Amino acid sequence: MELLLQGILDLTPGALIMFVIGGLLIWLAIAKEYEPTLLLPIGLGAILANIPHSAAIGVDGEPGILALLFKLGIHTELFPLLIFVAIGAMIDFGPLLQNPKMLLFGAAAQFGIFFTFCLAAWFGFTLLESASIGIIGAADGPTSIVVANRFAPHLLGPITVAAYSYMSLVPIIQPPIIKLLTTKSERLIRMDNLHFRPVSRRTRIVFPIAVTLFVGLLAPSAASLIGMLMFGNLLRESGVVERLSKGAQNELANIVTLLLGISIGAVMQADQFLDRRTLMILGMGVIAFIFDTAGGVLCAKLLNLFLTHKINPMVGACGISAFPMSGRVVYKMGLAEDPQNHLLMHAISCNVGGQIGSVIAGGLILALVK
Amino acid sequence: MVPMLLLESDVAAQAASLPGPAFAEALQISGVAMLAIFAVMTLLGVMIALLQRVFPADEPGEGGPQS
Repeated sequence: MELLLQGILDLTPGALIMFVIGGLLIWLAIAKEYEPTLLLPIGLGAILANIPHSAAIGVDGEPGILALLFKLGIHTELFPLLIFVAIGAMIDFGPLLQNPKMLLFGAAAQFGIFFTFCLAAWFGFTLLESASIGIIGAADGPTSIVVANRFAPHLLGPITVAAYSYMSLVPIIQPPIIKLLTTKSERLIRMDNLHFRPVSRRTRIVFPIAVTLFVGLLAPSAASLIGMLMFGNLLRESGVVERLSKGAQNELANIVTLLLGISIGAVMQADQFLDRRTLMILGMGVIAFIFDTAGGVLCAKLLNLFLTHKINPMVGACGISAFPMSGRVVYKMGLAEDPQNHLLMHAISCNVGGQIGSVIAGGLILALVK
Repeated sequence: MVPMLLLESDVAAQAASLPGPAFAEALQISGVAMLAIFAVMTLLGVMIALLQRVFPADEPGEGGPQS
C-alpha cells in the first residue's frame, strides 16, 4: 500500500507549485492561444518532470523519455537547429531583398539583448548567465536555447519559457512602447515613395548561399545557426525540391516543435526552476523586448533626421525577430492611424531582417563571451 | 518578524554589492557586439544590392513573388 502512495507521500510544495505553473502554461496555450505549439508541450512536460520518482525523468539511474529527449535534442542543439531549417523554409526573404536598407533595423532592434545582458550582470549574474538572459531579447527561441544551453544550462527552463511566452505577447508588449516613443504625425508617415525593386529568381537562390558564406566567415560561431536557416530557405527558393521544402515547413516543423517543447519540461524541475532568479529572469525578459522595440524605433527616428523620404518609425520596431507577429502588429497599428497607410511590405522586410540580426547577435555572443 | 529582518538584510547586502563583478565586462562586450552587428548588417545590405545588380530581374517571368 505504501508503495502505491509513495508518489503522493513524496510530493513537495515545490512540485505542487510546478503543477500549477504547468497548468498555467497549458491554460495560456489553450484559452489565450499564446504560442500553443510550444507552451502546451512545455506545460505538460513541466508537470511530468515534477511527479515524484517520475519515470519520464529516470528510474534507478536510467534516463527516462524526457531526460533522453533533452540529452539527444537540446543538449546537442539538434532540435533548435532543425527548427531553423523549418523557419528558413517558411520565410520569404523577398521583401528584404527588395529593400535591403531595412537590415539596419534588424541590427538596431537587437539593442534589448545587450541592455539586458548588462542589466543581468549589474544584478550579480555571472557573465555567462547574463549573456544567456540577454539573448531572450533575440525574440528567437532556437537562438535562445542554443546560447543558454552552452552558457547556462541550469537556466534553460526559465529562459526558454520567457523567450516563447514574450514572443506570443509581442502584440501586447510592443504597441505601448511604440506609441510612447512616436508622435501622431510620425505614425502617419507614409512610405509609398519607397519603391520595392523586383527580385530575380537567381538573386533569391544565391542569397541564402551568399549569406551562409558571408556570415559564416565573419562569425564562424553563428555558422550552424545561419547555415540551417539558409539551408531551409534554399530548399524553398531553389524551386526543384518542393517536396523537401514543404516537408521542412510542415512535418519537420511540427515534429521537432513537439519534441522540443516537451523536452524543455525536463529542465523545469522544482529544485531548479523555483528560484528568486527565475522571477528576475522573467522580469528581465520583458525588459529585453521593450528595449529591442525602443532600439528599432529610435534608430528610425535618427535616420529620419538625414533622410529625404522619411521612414515611419513604427516600422523600426519590426527589427525584433518575432516573425511575423511584429510585422503584423505594426501593419495593424499603421492602419489604425490611417486606413490608407499600408506598411505591410516594409514591416515584413524589416521583420525578416530581424530574423537574420538575431542569429548574428547570437553568434557574436557565443564568440565574444568566454 | 525575524525572517522579514533577514530578508531585508539580504536585500540590503545585495544592493550594497551592486553592480555585479561581471558588469564592466558585459558593458564592453555589448558595445563591441552592437558595433559588429551594425557592421555585418550594413555589409549584408551592400551584398544584397550587389546581388540585385549582378542578377537583375529583367528576364521574362522574373520579379514577381516566388513560391
